[in-house]
Amino acid sequence: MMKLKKLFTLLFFVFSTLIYAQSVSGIINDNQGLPLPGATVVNLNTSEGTTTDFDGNFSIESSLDDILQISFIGFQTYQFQVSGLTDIINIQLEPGNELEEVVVSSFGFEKKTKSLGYSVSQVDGDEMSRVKSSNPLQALRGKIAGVNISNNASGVKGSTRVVIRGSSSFNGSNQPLYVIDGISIQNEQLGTAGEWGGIDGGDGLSTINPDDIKSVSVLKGGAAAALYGSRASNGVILITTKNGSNAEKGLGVELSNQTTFSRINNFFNPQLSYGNGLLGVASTNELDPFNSWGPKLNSGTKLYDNMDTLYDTGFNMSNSVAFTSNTDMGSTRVAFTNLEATDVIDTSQLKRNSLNLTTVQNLSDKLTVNASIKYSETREKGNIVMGTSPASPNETIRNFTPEIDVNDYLGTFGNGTTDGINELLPSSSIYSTNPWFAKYNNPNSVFKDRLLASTSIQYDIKDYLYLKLQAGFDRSTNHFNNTTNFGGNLNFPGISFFPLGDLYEQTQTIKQHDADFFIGTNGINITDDFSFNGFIGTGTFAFESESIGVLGRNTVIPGLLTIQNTANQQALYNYGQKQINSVYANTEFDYQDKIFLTFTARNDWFSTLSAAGKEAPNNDLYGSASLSVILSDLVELPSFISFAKLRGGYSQVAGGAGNPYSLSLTYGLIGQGHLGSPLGAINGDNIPNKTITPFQKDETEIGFDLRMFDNKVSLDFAYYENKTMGDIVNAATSRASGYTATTINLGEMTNKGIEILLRGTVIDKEDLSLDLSLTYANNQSNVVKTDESGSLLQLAVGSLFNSFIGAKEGEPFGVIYGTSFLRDNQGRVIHTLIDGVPIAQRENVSKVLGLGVAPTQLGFGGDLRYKNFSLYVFFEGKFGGSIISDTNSRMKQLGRHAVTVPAGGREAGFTPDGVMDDGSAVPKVVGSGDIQKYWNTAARFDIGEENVYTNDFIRISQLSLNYRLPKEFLQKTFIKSANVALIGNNLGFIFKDVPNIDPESFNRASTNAQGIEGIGMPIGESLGLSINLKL
Amino acid sequence: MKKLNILLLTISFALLSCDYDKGFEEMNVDPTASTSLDVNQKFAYLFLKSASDEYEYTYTEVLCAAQLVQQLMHQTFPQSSIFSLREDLLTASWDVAYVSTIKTVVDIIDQLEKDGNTGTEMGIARIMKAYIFHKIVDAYGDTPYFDAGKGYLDSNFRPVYDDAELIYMDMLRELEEGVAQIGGSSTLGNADIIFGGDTTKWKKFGNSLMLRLAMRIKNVDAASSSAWITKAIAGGVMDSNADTAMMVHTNGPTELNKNAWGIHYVRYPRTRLGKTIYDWLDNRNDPRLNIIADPSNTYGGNPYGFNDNDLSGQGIDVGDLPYTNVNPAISRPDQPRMLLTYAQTAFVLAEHYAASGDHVTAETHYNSAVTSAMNQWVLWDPSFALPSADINAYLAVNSYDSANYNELIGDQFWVASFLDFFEAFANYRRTGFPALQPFGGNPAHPENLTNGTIPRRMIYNPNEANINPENFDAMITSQGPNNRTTRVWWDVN
Repeated sequence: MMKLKKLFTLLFFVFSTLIYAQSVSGIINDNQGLPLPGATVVNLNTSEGTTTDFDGNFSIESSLDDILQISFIGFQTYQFQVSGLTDIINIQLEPGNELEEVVVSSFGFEKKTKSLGYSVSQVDGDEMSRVKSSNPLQALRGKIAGVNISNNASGVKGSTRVVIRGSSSFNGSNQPLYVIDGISIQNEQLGTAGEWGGIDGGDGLSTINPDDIKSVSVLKGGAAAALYGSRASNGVILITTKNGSNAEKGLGVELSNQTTFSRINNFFNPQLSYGNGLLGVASTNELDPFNSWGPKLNSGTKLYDNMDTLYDTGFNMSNSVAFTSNTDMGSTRVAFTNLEATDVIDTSQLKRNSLNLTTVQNLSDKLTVNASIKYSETREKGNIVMGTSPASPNETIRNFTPEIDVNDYLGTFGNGTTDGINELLPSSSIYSTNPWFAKYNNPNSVFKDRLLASTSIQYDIKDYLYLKLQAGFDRSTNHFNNTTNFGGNLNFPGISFFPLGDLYEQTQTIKQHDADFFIGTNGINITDDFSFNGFIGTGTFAFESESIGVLGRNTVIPGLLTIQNTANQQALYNYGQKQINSVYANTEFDYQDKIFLTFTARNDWFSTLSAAGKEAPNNDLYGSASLSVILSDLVELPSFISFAKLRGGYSQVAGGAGNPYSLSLTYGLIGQGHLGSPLGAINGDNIPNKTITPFQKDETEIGFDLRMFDNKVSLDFAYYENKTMGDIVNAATSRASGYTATTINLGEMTNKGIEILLRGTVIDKEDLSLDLSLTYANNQSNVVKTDESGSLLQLAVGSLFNSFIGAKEGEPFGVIYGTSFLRDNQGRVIHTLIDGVPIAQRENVSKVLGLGVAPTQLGFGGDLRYKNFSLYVFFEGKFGGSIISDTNSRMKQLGRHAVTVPAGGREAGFTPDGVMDDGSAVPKVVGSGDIQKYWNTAARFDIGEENVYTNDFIRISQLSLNYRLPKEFLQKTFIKSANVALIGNNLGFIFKDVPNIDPESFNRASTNAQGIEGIGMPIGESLGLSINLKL
Repeated sequence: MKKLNILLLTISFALLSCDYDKGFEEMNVDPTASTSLDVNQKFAYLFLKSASDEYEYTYTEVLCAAQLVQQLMHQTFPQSSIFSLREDLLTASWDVAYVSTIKTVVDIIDQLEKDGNTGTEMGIARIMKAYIFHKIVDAYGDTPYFDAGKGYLDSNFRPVYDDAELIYMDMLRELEEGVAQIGGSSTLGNADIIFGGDTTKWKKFGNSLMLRLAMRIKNVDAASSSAWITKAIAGGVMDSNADTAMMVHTNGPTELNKNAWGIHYVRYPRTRLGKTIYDWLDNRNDPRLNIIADPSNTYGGNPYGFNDNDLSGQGIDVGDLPYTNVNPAISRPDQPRMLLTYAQTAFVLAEHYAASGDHVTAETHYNSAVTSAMNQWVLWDPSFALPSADINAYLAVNSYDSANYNELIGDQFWVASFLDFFEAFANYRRTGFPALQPFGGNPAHPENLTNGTIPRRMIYNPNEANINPENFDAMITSQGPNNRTTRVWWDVN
């Protein structure tokens, strides 16, 4: 028995020493203590290598005293000598210095940050899906200096506008180029609001799912985007989707759910002391629930919060499941996402299903193939009509006096009708729609089906020479249905212009493809100190869109809303096609990995600028040069600076007219003839111009990138100046010319600005860390030239006809122009007595009243981690801009605005600021009647200045409180990791200047008409829960 | 290595020598449009648009002019009876005319010149040009004329505002020369949707328009007025209802084919007959009362100079205005629109002869005009035929009177021009008849901006001051401020 025991013990020892002698095990974590999967562990003595698994574990054959080397991109390589074979080794890697940091740059090439002479900002996919919205770009608000993101006040489906380094084109789109996995995608806004309202159909980017995003790179300046050519003249947003290569080896499953509830931020703050009536007298007209010029309300009167009644709680839920496979041959990710959202007006809904299959495969050691297919299907119903249009529920809801309950207008059928079909009109005006009628009888819908496919194939002929092909397409089919409902009550038709209803059905197919072919070289050593890198390529971009629609007027059978049921029908057809072909080259010289010099050149040929017999060119050659110097490698710097880079560059880019067929005058047939004769006329109101050439935009940029205190603090600074010359614009012409505008190369505009990004790790302990980041950007634009006579260009007219957004020589771009108060030479407002009441007079010449775009933007965020908890808060601020507010104007006209009730009540009156036209003091205005006369003239159509407000604000933009379930907890389950977070979006303001509305309630933000608020959906705040599981 | 170099060189050479814009010129041609068009189709469009543009007719003619002459009232747009400001209504006609009818007629004349056409078609185009422009000049005053509509042809983006006097003289000359060019037949075929190819009627139309314009300038240039009237009569003006120039409309297939008044009638049901015209017809037992007014009720006309709140204050139910509507039987979308009637022509003749002392001829024309004004409603619907006995009885009571001929002719012209509100407005301003009272003799409404007077013109789009500042400012210096009390050249009454 003893002998057996000894044998077993001996065997056990031998066995264990054998085991321990054979491998070393450990866990690799990153600097935040999170496991690092995919890190490479190499035994330098045996040359054996392995990688860490999903939990950061590794096990490698090793003997005592062997040297093991751990490396991972973005971190400093770590080596250690094996000193013991029994313990599990715990290693934490430190973030790498700039030797290793890479960003995704043009054409998907990953470039070391240190070699770039221009500014690129990269945001991780986790940041994009931390607090998700239906448009992934919302997650970037305020986080990238110089990138100004704003969106329409049109609810969940609204469009987003992104402007990088200021607008540089008068009538062009000013939006960047969006590239996803190597192909550009169409991001046109489908439908917009004009000064009379309209519907926002969302934009192309909203069909991309935030959970699928691996990283977003923003190429801000001309040098960054030079390789993408003219479509990138406003920068590039490069999105790379996940392809499974960061997932654990083998198979993986990831589930996530985000559920949020939203409600409006109700800033609407009317006076509640005076009720319905006019001139101080209670109204006897029950068809006027809107005027609040009546007598003082008794303290016992019940008051209703009608905004609260109409707007419910919105709901937004997104579920996604992703399968990943990660092997040595390559990796694949397949993800399916479902999104359902109901807006605060609950008849407005959105459903989206999408599928994303992305893979990267190393077919041989010379051939790598990337491919991706993304399909999404979106169904939107009940899209809200914007602005002051009849059929907008948002317009009249603010107008009801507080003692009137808007529920009274539901009608017996509960949908705002008298008999189930005809509108129950709240007032005698056909322009004021019953909000319930607009809510329940609004069968607008938008269906979007979209397929994106892309592939890139790279073949390494030699290890220094490669061929690469990148191609793909974006195809979408969109179907719109707009209906202005049969609301006709023949004494009071419900919807003003079409009492018998008006239907519009349209199907639009948009296709675009990109194909690029390069041949290039990687890292050829010219001498010991110099190496060279470059490629030459050719590419093509083709776009085609076709839409077929039917407009039907005057429904015959009441309530049957289909085109067949209309008395008058008209067919509509639209077609557009354009193409850009290019050839380009890129060369980079690298001196000792410390100084980098890059040159690019590109020539674009535009079909939109081509016409038979045209002498002016249809193409342009342009280039860029940029330099990056790693100062910290060249000179001795104070020790707290671990890395310093200086960069600078100059670039030129050309741009062509975005619209095809704009070079010739054409005729078309109108309607279906009359009395047997066809009718024909000149198409359109724009004078075509055959001498158009591409415009040119030049940019100079300098900056630096500093990492200090052991990489705990980083400061990135950029200064840029850009100039656009010969901008192709539609300049307004006098209507007496027979046309309303002409296309011409006229404009010249500049932008200058600075961008600062400051990040720091303030606390860095094992269990506790705090990271702060601050972005600051300021852009000063200037309109240098509009045309030969220095005309004022109108970019968009406000819904209050006394205001517009304009471009005037010597002023910043996009100023708010409007009529102003007539003032004396001391600046006092001049009043004239009309009917016994002093009325402020208006000056008939329009003036600059403010900037439509805020020149200064700020973003501030903090990320606090304690053990398994993390708290993230982000604030965003904009300063220096103004807004012209339709809501405030109407409130003053109707007596709802707080300013119409002076401190002692209307009975006590107030003395207006200013002077009478004869120089005497302005008499006091006393009593509801006179106060009504004072405001009712000034507010509405007459004086724009009255309703322009400075628009500074700081918004509490995002919040998330995240808990990561500890590993010990999950070990017994099949769940590998789990995160739960409480998330919130747009939770309020630290301060804001403009009363009664959200400072960003633009209804046309995605066009150049920024700065006009025209009564849209109130912007909401949301709060909810997000769960993410990895199996 | 060498093979590789050759490969690289070949690829680079290939890249650089491709034809990169192959096919671009063809691609950039719109496959759904044409760069030229047959002039006939342009004519048809011109004729139809001159008759009624829904937006322009509704906004400026009906909601402004009709209320100014007190023939209609619309309580939702009281600005035109209180004379407060509502710019978009007043500017609509000017805004629309330049980018539709004026642009088209300039394009047609240019095409005919390039084709070397100096015949009937050119004559018709010149007559239409005068017709379109005279409405604009009468309503607004000095306006771009010689350089109008030439944005594409001459790249003139900001035309000069020409003096109304020069415009009038040129329009008269255009009519004279245009009528002279009209031959025995036209090549317009189906496209002549006004006169169906009858060139004689075109000549009479041209001369009758000449007559109208000539009479218009009587108070500012008596000599020219008289000379042109003589020419018009010598050339031959309309002499019966059969010569009346009108546009026949159909109920579809699109809105463009419909009569704009018919569209307006359904869309704006708060429109009512004005008290002034209702009372005028009622007091004289005029048989046209039951044609113009809705016979199903006898409420009376909508009073003048009040907004909804004022009426409510008087105890009127503004939710269901107790005033008579225009007869639906003359308000259908498939009924015709008059461009220039025989009655209007005959009244001018009557005035001309009366002013020159020949009251016998004047009376003949007066009687003929009244008869035809009564009879013209059969063009709307045959059931409106009036027995000649009734007409004669009416004439016996409302007979011609050489002492009061201005008032008689002025009032009758006004009634005869019901639905042609611009013409009623122009004639009222020139003659002072009918004797309209703003605010029914009561003090002006507190929101009134014209010192209690009836406005004398519409206003230009104030945006012109921003887009065409030099020329706009020059026009204001020459004519007066862009408000409604400034007078147009011939309005000196």
